[in-house]
Amino acid sequence: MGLIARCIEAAGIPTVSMTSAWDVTAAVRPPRSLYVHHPLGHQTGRPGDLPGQIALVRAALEAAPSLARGEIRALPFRWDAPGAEGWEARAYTAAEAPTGPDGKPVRG
Amino acid sequence: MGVRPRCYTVRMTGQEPSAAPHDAVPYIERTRRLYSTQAPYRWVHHDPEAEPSPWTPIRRPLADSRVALVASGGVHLASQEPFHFRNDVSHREIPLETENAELRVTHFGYDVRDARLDPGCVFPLAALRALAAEGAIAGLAGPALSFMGGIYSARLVRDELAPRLRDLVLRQRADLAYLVPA
Repeated sequence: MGLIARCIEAAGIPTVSMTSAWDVTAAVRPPRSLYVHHPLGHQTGRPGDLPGQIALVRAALEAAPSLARGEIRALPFRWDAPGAEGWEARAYTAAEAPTGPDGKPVRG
Repeated sequence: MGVRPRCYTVRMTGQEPSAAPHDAVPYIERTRRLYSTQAPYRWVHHDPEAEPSPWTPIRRPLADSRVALVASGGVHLASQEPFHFRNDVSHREIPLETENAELRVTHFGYDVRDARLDPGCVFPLAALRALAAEGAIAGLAGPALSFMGGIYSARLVRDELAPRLRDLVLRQRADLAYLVPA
């Protein structure tokens, strides 16, 4: 997505990108990035929580004008779903690798 | 449209250094370890000095801005063809009034269970509509644009997908593009 952000920005339209993968985003360097400490697949919030999604999107859009070029800034959103403690240790490990239609792991 | 700016225009430098949060998941390292038997996934890397981020200042107040949604979570209409397994650089156009119940999710690079329960986890169309209704943004530029990330070929993204999405966002006359990966 970072490549697409850079392409749109270069055409004269400002962009703001969400991310939950700091290292990937730091490598690609989109113009403006807002990090939420959520598992992948939840960059704009929790399922069934529209008020929380609105709050997150609002915070991101409101922060956008104050971001410096290439900055990645953490927004104060943390993943605290029930039973999710320690999710960081399990993310993208063999235990939780996403699998393709053939049952073999694929890369995101 | 005359001469379009090329992607990856390099202008002035002035990149903001940022420190990763201590508990950020090391996805690049874990991906390498998890799929060590396959050819390595090559993450795109831009040197901040040699290839700084393109930059267009945000001049218009948010309340006067039409926002375009571009998302890579593999969301599509139930009536549209699902995305394919690998290197699918097609996109789907999602009408702005679409309800979540009409959306489906096809993606092989992340756990889609929650996104299938509620596409708003990765495709915040309903949230953006709510912000437009209350006047926080002027409105949405549409249709919303959706594709499936996890594309192996950076060349295909650079040469096909990115310019196509750029042209669509330009045509929508959006003031700001909101990009959501998954």
